Amino acid sequence: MRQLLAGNYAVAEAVRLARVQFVAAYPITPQTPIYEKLSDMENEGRLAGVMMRTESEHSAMAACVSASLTGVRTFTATASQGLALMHEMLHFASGNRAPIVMCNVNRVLAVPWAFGSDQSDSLSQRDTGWLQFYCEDAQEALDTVIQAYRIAESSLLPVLVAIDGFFTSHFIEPVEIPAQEDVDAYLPPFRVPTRFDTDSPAYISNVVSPEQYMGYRQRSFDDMEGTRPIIREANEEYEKIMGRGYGVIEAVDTKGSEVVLAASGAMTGTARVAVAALRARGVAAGLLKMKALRPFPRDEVREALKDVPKVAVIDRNISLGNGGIWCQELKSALYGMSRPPSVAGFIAGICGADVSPDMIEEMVLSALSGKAPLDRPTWVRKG
Amino acid sequence: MARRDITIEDIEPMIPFSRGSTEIFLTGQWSARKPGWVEKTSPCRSACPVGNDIARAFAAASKGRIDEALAIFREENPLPGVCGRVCYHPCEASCNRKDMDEAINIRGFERYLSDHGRVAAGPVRPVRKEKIAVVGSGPAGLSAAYHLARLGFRVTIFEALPEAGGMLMYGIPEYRLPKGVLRKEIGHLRKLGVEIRTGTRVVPEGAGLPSFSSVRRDYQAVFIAVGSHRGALLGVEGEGSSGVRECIAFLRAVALGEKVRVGRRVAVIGGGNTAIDCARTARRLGGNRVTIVYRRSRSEMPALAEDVAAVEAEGIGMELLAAPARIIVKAGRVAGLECVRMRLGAPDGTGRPAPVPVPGSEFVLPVDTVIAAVGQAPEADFLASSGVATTHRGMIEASDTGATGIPGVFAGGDAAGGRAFVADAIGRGKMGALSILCFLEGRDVGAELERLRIGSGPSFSFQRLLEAGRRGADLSDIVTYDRLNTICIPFAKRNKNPERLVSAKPPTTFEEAVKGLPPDRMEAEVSRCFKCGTCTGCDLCFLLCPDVSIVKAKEGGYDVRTDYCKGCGMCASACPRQVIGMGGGR
Repeated sequence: MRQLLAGNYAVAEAVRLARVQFVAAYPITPQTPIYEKLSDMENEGRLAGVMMRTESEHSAMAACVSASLTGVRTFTATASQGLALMHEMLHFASGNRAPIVMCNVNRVLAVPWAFGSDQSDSLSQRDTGWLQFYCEDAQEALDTVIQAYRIAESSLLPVLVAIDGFFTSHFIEPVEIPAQEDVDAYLPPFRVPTRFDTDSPAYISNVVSPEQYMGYRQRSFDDMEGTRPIIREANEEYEKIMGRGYGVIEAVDTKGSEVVLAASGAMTGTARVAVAALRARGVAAGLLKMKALRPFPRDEVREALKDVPKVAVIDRNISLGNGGIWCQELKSALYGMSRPPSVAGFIAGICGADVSPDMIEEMVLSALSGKAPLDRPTWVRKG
Repeated sequence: MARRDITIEDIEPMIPFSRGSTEIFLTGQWSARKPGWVEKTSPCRSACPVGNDIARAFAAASKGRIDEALAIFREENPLPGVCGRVCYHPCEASCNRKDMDEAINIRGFERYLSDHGRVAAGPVRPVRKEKIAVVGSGPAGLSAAYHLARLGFRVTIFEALPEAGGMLMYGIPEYRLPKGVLRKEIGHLRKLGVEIRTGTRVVPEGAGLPSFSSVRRDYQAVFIAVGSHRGALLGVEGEGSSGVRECIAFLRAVALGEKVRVGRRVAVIGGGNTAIDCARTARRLGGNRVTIVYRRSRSEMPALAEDVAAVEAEGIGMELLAAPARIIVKAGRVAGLECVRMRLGAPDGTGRPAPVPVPGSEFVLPVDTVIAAVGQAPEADFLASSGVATTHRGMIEASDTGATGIPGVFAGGDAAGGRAFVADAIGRGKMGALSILCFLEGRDVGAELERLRIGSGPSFSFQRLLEAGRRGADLSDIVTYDRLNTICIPFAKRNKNPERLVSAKPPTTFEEAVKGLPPDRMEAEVSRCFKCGTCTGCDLCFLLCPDVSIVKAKEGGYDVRTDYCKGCGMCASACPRQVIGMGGGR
């Protein structure tokens, strides 16, 4: 069924279709409509599970971890400061191997106080042991949340699905809502056994020796590596049933390109227009859409860029003291290639600042001409 | 895609499980600072000459236990009904609450307890064989007798006047301290086994019995607290004429119910509480122009500011910076008081500015009665032949612990030159009781006093002496305002005792001028009190401890499980009363 939906509502529909049994959350701009829509659904009896209203995001995640360990499918949504407050519990979720799915609506972090889109909130949770997927639009957000449950519950690792605050969360787009029976066919009921047994009580998060600890960490690392085929299969299966799918990257006209623009999230849509315009003017430009941050699609990126001489990366985030985070990740994935491309980083659209197609064309051309520095990011601001 | 379901066996290698107790991990091992639950001492108690455990009494009252609160006062003070009315309340001047809004009405609380609480009087220890004599039944004598009786001694009080109470009975007027209140409290002493022989003056040697030597022979120790019942003279011309009265005799005559008459225009000389009492009494006896004549200014008056205010409210005038020079007598009767204007000079021996006469400034107050309230001295003829050393002003020379030069003879109160306030006299009576205990048991009174002393203040705790085994407060640690957590305490107005309505009509009766607080306002005042240093069992520490390391102790209060406490200090910073404080290691 095709409907006009804001991205936040598309996420809520996915949660409903996934028959999530437990939602714990706290409202925060620009995520609040997800919370409100799920509340409406619960009130109308359309939500399979229950909502728990917590006093903070830290508690919301603690509740999700506990609920997940009792053997139910769980969801939460947050943004910005909320995700930052949750940070400690993100480690508890992955360490306890709780297959929680969370939607983070990217928003800048204070200070100064502001509301626009910025990926720094979720990118700075990179090392908490969660899988991270960045979506281009509302449709992808809906589809990715459903896929995320399949991936999380197969790997016993939590998944974060990120959408851009206001651009994706609030823009109304036509969205194809899958039929419930199709989702049921794709996503079986939650089958992870409860880890709490009242007849034989056990304690989790207990103290272990250094050797034991390292063993658990290595096991988690190996299992994160093991999600690569799971992600691929999950998407292939989804595509088979729904007729839509998304790779961990998407390479558009990269083959034979002189320059490739790497972008992520909602900005990818604009980048598609800009690259098409460049190609129409005879510039051999391609596009690399980055979707997965963790696990990082190392092999896929190397394959897509193996014969490309120049790469421009747009980051809607900034890591002070280095540069854009996607740019760093990309560079490190390319390390050791026999003829790696030169990579120029651009910082643009921080806090949802406007990034127009002509600004993107400028960045691509400056990377192509070699004018853009390679050792530090170029800040691209209007006016 | 056919997938195998995940089983619990799949999960166990992924995340650790423990089925044992986590208590084996002593998570408090790596911190060096630990909190400790120790009750401490409130500044009001430290300031109280009687040493009343005020905060603990407020804590008991906050649970509705009025009788217990009264019993807490009575651990240190036999006369809460008296002090609850006439004390100069240094406690309130030290109250921590004054740094937030207004001091607690502690005196009103003490009065409320004595008016509403039930007293279970009875000896605290087994009766001992030693007999103690107390000479004088004023606040010092009553206090010494009370504490000695509670220690198990057999106590006899010798009182020269027809009724016990000393200045409380014969000096303080009825409108400030109703006789019934005093009689009730003296009655509790009698129930405790104290024998009071009224109308029995100790007389000089050879003048009959009981003489001082006969008392010394019959009793193992003597406490002299004869007060100062002899009023000082003005030392001016015309003092012997009709219409001139001396304050002590004047107040005593009124107390005895004698027909006392004053003229319509009365001058009261002096600036102390006795002058105030005389002026207000004269007003009630029909003096419609009563004037207090004082040689310094208002701020130097020894009387309490609130009593000076009461004087004004009753329409009594004040002639400040004036001293009597001569009483003008016509036909043997007072016809006027010639005064000389004074100015304030350099500080004198008391630290106050010395009044200096202004030459040629004489003026006449047209009065027909003059009441002199300019000082008092002991009135006890037996002292001269007793061997007890006295000063040139007739005061007994006693040490800080009340010892005279004669072994077994101790002294306190006004007669021994103590501060002329009821609370101080009660405090000196306690001191005498402790000194006598130590004398009879051969203990070092100085060491005992240090053990029992409250802060660096004037008093010590008899409760500590009698209940040595109890988990008691640290008497040396006074909780100051900056150590409290008042964040959850709302601002609230002090609940004052209602006063007799000031109207155009002058007071004509001796009805009590200040009333007791009604129960609802007392309850509000009880909740205003911080209970500094006293645990009320509010559970803040228990509830806020992130490591479940504060547990409730069986005997009340809380214990700290230092094995698990990480020393974060939340309990200590949350404790409203500084009962929990951070200390050293485990």
